Amino acid sequence: MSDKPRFRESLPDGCPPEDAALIEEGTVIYRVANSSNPPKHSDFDSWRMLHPSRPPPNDICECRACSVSVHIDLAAAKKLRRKYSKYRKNKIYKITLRNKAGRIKKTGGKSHYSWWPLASYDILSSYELLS
Amino acid sequence: MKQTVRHNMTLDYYDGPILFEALDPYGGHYLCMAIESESDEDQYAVFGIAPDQLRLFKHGSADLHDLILDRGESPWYIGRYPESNSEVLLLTEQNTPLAETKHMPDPGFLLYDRPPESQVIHHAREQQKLALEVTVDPLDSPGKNRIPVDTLAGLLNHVQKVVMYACNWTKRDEPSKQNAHDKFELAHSLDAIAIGAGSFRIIMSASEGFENLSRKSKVARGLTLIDELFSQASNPQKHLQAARKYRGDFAQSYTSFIKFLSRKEIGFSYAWAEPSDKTARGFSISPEQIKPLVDKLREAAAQQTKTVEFTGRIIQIDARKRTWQLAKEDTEDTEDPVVSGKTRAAGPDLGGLTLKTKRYRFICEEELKIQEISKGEKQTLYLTKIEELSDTNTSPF
Repeated sequence: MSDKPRFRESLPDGCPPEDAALIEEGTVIYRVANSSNPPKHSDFDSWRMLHPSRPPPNDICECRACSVSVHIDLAAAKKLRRKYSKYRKNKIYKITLRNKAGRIKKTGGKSHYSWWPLASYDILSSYELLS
Repeated sequence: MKQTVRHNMTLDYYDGPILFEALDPYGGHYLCMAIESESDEDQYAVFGIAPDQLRLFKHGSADLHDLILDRGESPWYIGRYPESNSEVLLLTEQNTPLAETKHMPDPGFLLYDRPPESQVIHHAREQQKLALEVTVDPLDSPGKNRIPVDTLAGLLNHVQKVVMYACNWTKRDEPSKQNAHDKFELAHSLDAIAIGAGSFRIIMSASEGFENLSRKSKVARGLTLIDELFSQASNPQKHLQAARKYRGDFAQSYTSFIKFLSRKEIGFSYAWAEPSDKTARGFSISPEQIKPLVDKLREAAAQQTKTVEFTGRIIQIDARKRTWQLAKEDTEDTEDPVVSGKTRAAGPDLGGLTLKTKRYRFICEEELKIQEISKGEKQTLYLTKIEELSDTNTSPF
């Protein structure tokens, strides 16, 4: 039997990438989400989950399209809301991750990470509404 | 007619592209900014932008808030994907100026925290890809104001190769399936995008886009290895130690590059950066520094060659291809009783040798070359001297 970990979403081969880190106990991330308190599981859907039949733009790989965007810096999450009307009414949740939350990798700007949660991880097990 | 634009370059990402450059069917430039929508569908504020303004914004030198204010009452659109699998945005023109809508971003919407500090960062941001600037200082040019075309072409070819093989070296530990998929082809590592005015300065850009999933692109990881080698340029021994960590195509292309610089007596500088970098990285090497490096590399290569002898009967000769095979006698090497090798163009003539019936001593230079990363070392025997022996042994044939 394969001991390959099962992720929350169906991922392409080679995803997450080899150098995506295993999440350590206590890792804090900030998620800008649409729902008012409490958040819903659907607030953690990737672009691929939301757009199952749309090809990703040519500079976005399928693996990234299947990840959940998070920030590790609260200021960056707040800045996202100030920049884009899409997020202006959204909430910011502080999430403290536990072991076996999946893999994470720094992508894009200085605070943006891509998160691939494991299927077995309860994504809503530890969150705090900040604003 | 329905107006449409197509995504061209992602500038900001959060669960998908939230700010991107798009092109209309005639090549006109637009910015598309994710906006609030009443439904769950993605919607974008889409507006035309002059190339010079777009360039400033991409450099991190212009505030999107100010750019929108400056547009005044110029038309803008709401863009939607008409179908779930659409790749083009369908535009609907809006009446209220964008600056007066709830979609107006707050002041301070800069793509980067600070403007670019060097030309190479400037180019990296403009292309949204790694940029590499190479500068050549030719001593062999009269008045230093010209450079032979073959030198310039040779330099670019060497840079391209060494970067490509460095990139592939960084992939060597990855699973073979992924490794094969990601290996660079020569044509896919760098493109020249600009020539610096008044200098032999060429700006190149990674052909492939940002790796998406990595802070560092593939080309950046390769360049980091080259940085490591050039950082030791002032110390030939340390440089050799650094170079010995690498094998195969990368080691060979790097050595060949250094020899080329030495042969042409040109100094070389480079700098590289990725779009979000605050400072560029790079090194310079002068012709005076290059020669001792080449001498040391040659010395080390010579130590990898040794002389070996074999006695036996020739079982195959191809004088045209300059190859041979010798069945060894009195050998304990039962697994490999036949040795094969080559002769160099200036080596012994294979024409007059006799197959099978005569005994010979072959004196050869054994050269170890490191091949493709996964294939290990390859031993090549170059015949340097042949001695015919008296026929005291019985023919094995």
